[in-house]
Amino acid sequence: MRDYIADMVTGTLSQEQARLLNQHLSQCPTCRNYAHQLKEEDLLLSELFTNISADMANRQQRVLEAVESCCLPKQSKPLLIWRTIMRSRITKFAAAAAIIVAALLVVHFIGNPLGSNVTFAQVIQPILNAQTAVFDIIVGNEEDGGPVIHDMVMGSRIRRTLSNAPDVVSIIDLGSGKILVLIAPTKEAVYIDLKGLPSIPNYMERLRNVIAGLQEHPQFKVEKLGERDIAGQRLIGFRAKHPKAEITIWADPETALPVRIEQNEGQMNVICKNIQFDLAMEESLFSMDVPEGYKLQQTEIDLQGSTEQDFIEGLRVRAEVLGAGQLPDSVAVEDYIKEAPAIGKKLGELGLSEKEQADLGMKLGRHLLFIRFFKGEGEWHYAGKGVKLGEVDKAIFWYQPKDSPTYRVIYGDLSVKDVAPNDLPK
Amino acid sequence: MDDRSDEIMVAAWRQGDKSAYTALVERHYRHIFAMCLGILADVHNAEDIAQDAMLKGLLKIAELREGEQFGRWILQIAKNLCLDLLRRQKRVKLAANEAANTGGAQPRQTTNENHDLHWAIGRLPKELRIPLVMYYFDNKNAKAIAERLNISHSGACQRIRTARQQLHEVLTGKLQDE
Repeated sequence: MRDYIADMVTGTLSQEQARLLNQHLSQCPTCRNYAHQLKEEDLLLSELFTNISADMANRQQRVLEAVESCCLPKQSKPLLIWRTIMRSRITKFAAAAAIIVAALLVVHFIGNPLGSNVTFAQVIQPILNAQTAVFDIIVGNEEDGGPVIHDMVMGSRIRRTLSNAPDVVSIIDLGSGKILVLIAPTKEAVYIDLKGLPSIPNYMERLRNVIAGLQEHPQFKVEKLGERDIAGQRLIGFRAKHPKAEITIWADPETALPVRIEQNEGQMNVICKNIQFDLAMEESLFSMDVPEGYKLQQTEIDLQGSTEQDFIEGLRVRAEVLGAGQLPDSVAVEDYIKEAPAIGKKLGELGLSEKEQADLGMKLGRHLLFIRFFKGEGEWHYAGKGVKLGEVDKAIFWYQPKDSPTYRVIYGDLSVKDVAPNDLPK
Repeated sequence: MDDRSDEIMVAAWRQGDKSAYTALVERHYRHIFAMCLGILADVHNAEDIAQDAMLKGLLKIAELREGEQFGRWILQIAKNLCLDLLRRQKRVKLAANEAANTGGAQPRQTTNENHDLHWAIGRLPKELRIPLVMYYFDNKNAKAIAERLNISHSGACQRIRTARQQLHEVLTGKLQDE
């Protein structure tokens, strides 16, 4: 009988059943009382959900606003995905990390050997005389289709854009160690204070000083590569070799102007191309002032303070949060830069709080910095491709810390052991 | 309200019609919210997860093969997000309990909230709470709920009936705390 009463209250009883039930209720005080209570509760429930519904329009509006900000189909405008990514804090941090790494590529460029050779000297002369420079940088291999970093250099400042984020401009001031990131679509500005970066008052002057110093380096050889067609242009090449680095410069044989520089440093390839010197550029392009109408945020990143533990934490984030338990295929910075939009997208889908996003972003940034500023001896080795987080018997990363007789080996469960050189994984 | 079918709106979105997803949100948000509330028994969490589901739906809509299934598909996304949240909350609760257990005796649970309707709804099992909440949100339309939850009409009626009976028992103190 109670089932019928409940059905009557919820309106799912047929007319005939309702008639019979009413007959019974007129004779049974217990059931009548039960029906009365259920009806009262029904009124209370209706009232409760009406109250909750009252705010529905506002809720829906908030959702629509969130959807509006990222609503175009990615097939028609792929770049919008990047803009969407840039709206969340995490990806600002992730992008910032990539930007910093890219910034340091250029700084490191000047720490490599160039040669003394009459023709070679002619080729480097424009670098020595230039007041400004414009060039494109590719990290990794050109054919991989990774993003192109476009740089304009004047004094201590670099104005940088990335081909996969054309609406984001970074002004890097090597003098003060600060980066101003400007995100045009959302009118947001982020000041990043880089700690641990040596002050470089004038980038071009620094380049001149380094080249002048290297000309007398005893261990350094220049090899002539002759002429070759590269990207439809006849160029003459020189390869400068040093035990730890190699630089190839391709120049226009007519003008002796360098147009392409290929550098191999550690385990990273960097290609610098479309080089032009002494182009007239507006100083305002390099201003560190926040444009009017932009909302400003500030943060800082310590470039030198990254430790092995930071590297491991980043591996954990990449496996647990981004890789569904799978360790990343690669830890090379160039691969990270290539994947940055996809990583940002993935992070954006996780529905994390602002604080969680910021924490993860910093962890990823510090993880990258460990590899970028690798302080160990020789090379590092990564073998985490195909390994699941927790596989205790799989060595995934090993390196030799400076002045250490043994190697540090990180395993699939992210534990670390000191291992003698002879016992290293094959 | 846009009167195009879900299938046409999904196709329109794929063609670049920005307004199509907005129309899908307007059509389905209320039901998504109701189901999230049914699962989570918390208005604020339901609001967050319903929004997340709509955004996740936007990011994943390219994977949806049959546009007419949008309603069920987005409900499933919301349901999964709710269950993820419950799992996270459970882990936090377990950790908190462990901490409390090592810190001494737990306080006795008070019973003076037994007549709070909100609390009583939260005491119902999810399987009953979801159709109950959706029922009161959907103008007491059991047929629509059956379609959304992919169950029979009689099945939906039965769950709503049992939910109402159990709710009454909770409110009148007949159901003992676990």
